[in-house]
Amino acid sequence: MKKENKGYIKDLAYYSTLGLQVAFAIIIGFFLGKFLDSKFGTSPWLTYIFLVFGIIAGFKNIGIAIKRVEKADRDGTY
Amino acid sequence: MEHPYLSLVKFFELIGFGHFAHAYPHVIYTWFVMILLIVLGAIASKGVTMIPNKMQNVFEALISGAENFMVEQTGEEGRWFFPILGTAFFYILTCNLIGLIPTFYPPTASISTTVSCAVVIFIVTHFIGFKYHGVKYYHHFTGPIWWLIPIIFPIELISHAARVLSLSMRLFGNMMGHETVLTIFFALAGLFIVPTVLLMAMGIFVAFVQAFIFCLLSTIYFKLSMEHAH
Repeated sequence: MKKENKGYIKDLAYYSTLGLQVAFAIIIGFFLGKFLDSKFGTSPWLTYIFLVFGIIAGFKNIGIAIKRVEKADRDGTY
Repeated sequence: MEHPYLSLVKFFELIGFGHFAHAYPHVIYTWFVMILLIVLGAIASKGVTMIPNKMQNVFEALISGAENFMVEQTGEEGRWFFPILGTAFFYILTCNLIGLIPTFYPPTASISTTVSCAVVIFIVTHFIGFKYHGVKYYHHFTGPIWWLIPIIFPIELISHAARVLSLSMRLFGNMMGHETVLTIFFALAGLFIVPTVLLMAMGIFVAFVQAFIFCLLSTIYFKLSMEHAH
């Protein structure tokens, strides 16, 4: 296989996983908040707070991917 | 969906462990994969010579291909953790591929197998972090400024948990979906096996891609914990 094509496949595999990671981060944040709410009886505040944390964590993954693209552009490699 | 006929489960019924085998077919087939890999590895490494024979040639090509791919990602300093990634890759690939043999069940179509792989990767990620940064590894979880800790810490915690979940769920979902579709097609089409065989051909592709993605993501996670905190 040509080197260029190999790089494309690698990128395809990596970026196709991003969506799932964002979704799971949000879900984990939501359910962690829900669990803590039922533990401390502060419904619904912790759910909202941890939902926001989950959303930020999900988008942080996209941030990491963007950094990767920038680095690849700079080095000229994949 | 219950698999119609599993040969190894029938074999365990014969020797009197039918109850266990029916409850945990993925454990039985994981044992099978383990034995297969150990025996193949033992045969390949029995007479290692400078001029390789046939078996050694095949294994050298496979393993050096995987190693070069990984070192390309992490750089030369990451070569020492190739054994764990190589093991994960060949184990998952074999687990996926034996699902294509009729009357065999891929262990990765059960969530327990995939979670166990993902948890191992998770632990090794943090082990590498501590190895490279010492106690200072906690800076990865605290962010640059001390009053940001209450915000950054839960975010990092959630994103690390999401890694484990997404690694395991992706592999499990793909393999379970493929297995279920095969079972349904076999039930519907019966002896008219053309669509089933076509789906199996796609299964080879899915097996390779999923093992590859698992390995690629683990490499990226290892690399992230090797780097300095941002």
